[in-house]
Amino acid sequence: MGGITNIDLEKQAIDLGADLVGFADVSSIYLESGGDKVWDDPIRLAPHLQSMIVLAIRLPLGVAGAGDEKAMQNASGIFAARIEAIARRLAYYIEREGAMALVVPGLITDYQYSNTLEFTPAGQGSRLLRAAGVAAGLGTMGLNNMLLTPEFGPRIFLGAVMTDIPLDSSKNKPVELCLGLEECGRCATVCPAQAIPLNNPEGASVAEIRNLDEAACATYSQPFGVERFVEHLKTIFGSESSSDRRQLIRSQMTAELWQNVTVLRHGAMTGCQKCWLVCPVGEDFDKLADSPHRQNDQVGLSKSSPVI
Amino acid sequence: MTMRDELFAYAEEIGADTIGVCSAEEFEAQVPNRQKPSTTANNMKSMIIFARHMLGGALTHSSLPYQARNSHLVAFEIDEITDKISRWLEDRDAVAVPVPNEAVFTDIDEKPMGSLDFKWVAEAAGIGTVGLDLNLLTPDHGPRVYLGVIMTDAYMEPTEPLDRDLCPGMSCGRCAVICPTQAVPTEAPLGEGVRDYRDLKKKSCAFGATRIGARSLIMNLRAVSAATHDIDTDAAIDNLYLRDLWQSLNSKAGAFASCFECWYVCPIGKKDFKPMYGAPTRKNDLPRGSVVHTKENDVHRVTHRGPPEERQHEYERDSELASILDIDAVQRK
Repeated sequence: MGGITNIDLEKQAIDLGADLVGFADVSSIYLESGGDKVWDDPIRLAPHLQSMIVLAIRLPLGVAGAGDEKAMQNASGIFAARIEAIARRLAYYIEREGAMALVVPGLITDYQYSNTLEFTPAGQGSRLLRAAGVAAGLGTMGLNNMLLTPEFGPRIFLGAVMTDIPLDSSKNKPVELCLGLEECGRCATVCPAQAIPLNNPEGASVAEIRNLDEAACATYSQPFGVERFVEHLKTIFGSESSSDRRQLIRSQMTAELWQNVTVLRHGAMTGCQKCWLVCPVGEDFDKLADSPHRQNDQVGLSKSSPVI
Repeated sequence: MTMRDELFAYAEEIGADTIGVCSAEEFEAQVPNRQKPSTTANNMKSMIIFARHMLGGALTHSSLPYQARNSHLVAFEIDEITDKISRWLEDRDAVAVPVPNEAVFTDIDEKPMGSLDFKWVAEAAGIGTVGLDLNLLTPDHGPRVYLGVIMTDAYMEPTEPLDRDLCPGMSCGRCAVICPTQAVPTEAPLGEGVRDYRDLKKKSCAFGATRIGARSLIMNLRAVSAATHDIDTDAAIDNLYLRDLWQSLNSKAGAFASCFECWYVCPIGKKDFKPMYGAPTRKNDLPRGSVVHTKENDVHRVTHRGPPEERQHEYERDSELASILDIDAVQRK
C-alpha cells in the first residue's frame, strides 16, 4: 500500500481544503455509535476497510453570521458538498498509492433501514459520521447530538474516507466540550422546534441527558425535505376539489420543494442552524458573536450573556 | 515531444487512468446513427478519450446507496479532468469541446441517448475493448471505469486499437451468469469471437442500472394509472419507493449507474480485480462451481443464476408500488 502514513494523509487532506482531520479504527466508531443505531455500520458492510479518515470543513463566519436563513441554507449545502469533494480527492490519492478507499456519503441514507432524520441537527453529517468524529478525536457530542470541536464548535460539515490501510487512531481526544444544560443550555433555549432537552435532573452529566427530537428538528432543518414532499403530495391528492388541488400544485410550497430537491441538493438538510450559532464552544465563537447580523438575537451571543 | 505526448503526461498527472485519441473524421464515417461527432460539433479533428476508475473500496462495500453515490462522484472526477484537459488545449490555441458524459438527449434518435457512444470511441482509440455485455474493458481496471471525451480541432495522431479482445466472451460468461435482469447473452455459436455476439438488452439492463430512475418511475405510474380499483393514495405516496425516488432526484443515487453486478465479477483488470475479489464482501457473488458451461449442438451456453438472493429485490423497483398497492405490475418488455 505504498507505506502511506497518517502524516501523509493529514497533509494531503489539509492541502485539499479540509480544516480538521482525524483517524479512527472502525471498531472504535462502532462502540461510539452504539452499534445497532447506525444502519451503515462499517464493520458489517465493509469489514476489510478497517480505518476511517474523518474530515471537517468549517462554516465560514460570514455564512454563520448571515441574517438571511435561505442564504445560509444554500451556502451550507455548498460546504456540505465541498467536504464530500475533498473526501473524493483524498480517496483517489489513496488508491493511486495502491490501497483501497471509499467516500462515506455525508447525506445519503438507505430508506430500508433509516431516513433523513439521521442528518439532524443542521445537516452536519450522518449519525455514523458524527460518531466517527468523536472516535477520531475531532471533538465530543453536544447536548443535541451534534459534534462539537475545540476550533469551530459545531459549525462544521463532516466527510470521511474508509480505507484498508491500517492507520493509527488519533490519540489526543478532547474532554467533554459541551457545558450542558445547567451551565449553558443555549441551544435548547433557541431551538424553534423545542427539540433539545430543556430539563434535566440536577447534576446530571451531558452524556446522561443528551438527546434530540429528530422529527421536530427536521421540521426546521429540512423544511422542504423528503417528509414535507410526501406530506404535500398527500395533501394534494387528498383534496376534495380539483380547484383546491390546482391551488396546492401551484403553491409556493411546490416551488420550494422543487428548489430543495434540484438546486439546493445537500442544502435540503441544512435549513436551520440556530443551535450552531449560539453554541459558545469553539475558538471562532467570539468573532461570530461580534457579527453585526446577530446583535439583535434574543439569546445573547457573548459568553457572559444569560440564558433566558 | 509531441502535443499528444505532453497531453498524455498532463492527463496522467491530473488523474486519468488511461487516455487515447481517435480521429473524429474516421469515427464519423463508421457511426450508423446520429451519435456522431458532428452532432456535437462540426469540423473537429480529434477526440480525446480517457477513463477514471470507480473506487475499489466502493465496489467492495455492501451498501448499494453508498455505491450509487460513489459512482456519481466518479462523474465529478470525469468533469474535473475534462475541464482541465479542455483548458490545457485552449491555452495552446486549440478549440476544445467537452462532450456530456451523463446527459441523454431526446433528439438524437427515437429513444433518449447520449450524443456520442463513448465505449466505441474508447475501442477505436485503443484504451480498451468492448466486452460481451457491451461494457468497455480496460487492461488495468476491467469495466470498472467511467469515460470522458473532449473533441478538438487540434490534430493529434490517433492511438492504435488494441490488437486483441480483452473479453474472453462465453468462455468466461460471468457477467451473463450474474446479471439480475438477464440482459447479457448467455449463449453463443461455438468458435466465434466475442465481437460476433457481444450484445446487451438495454431495456433489461436499465431495470437494474436505473433502478430508482426514469424507467421504474414510468412503470410504477403506468401500473397505478391502469389499476382496476380505487388506489389508497396515502399508501401510494407514503412509502419507501417515493422516498428513494426523492433521494435519487436530489443526489442521483439510484437514478442511473446503480447496478454493478457485472462489474463485481469481471476478471479483467490487472490492478483492481484481485484486491476486489479478495474482499470478504465479494466472496458470495459467484461461489465456486456456480458458473456452469455447456457446449452442445455447436452452441456454448452459460446457465443464468443472478445475483445472491439478498440483493435481488433491489432490481425489482419497477413493480414496487404495484406490490404495495396490491395491483397488477406492468410487465417488463
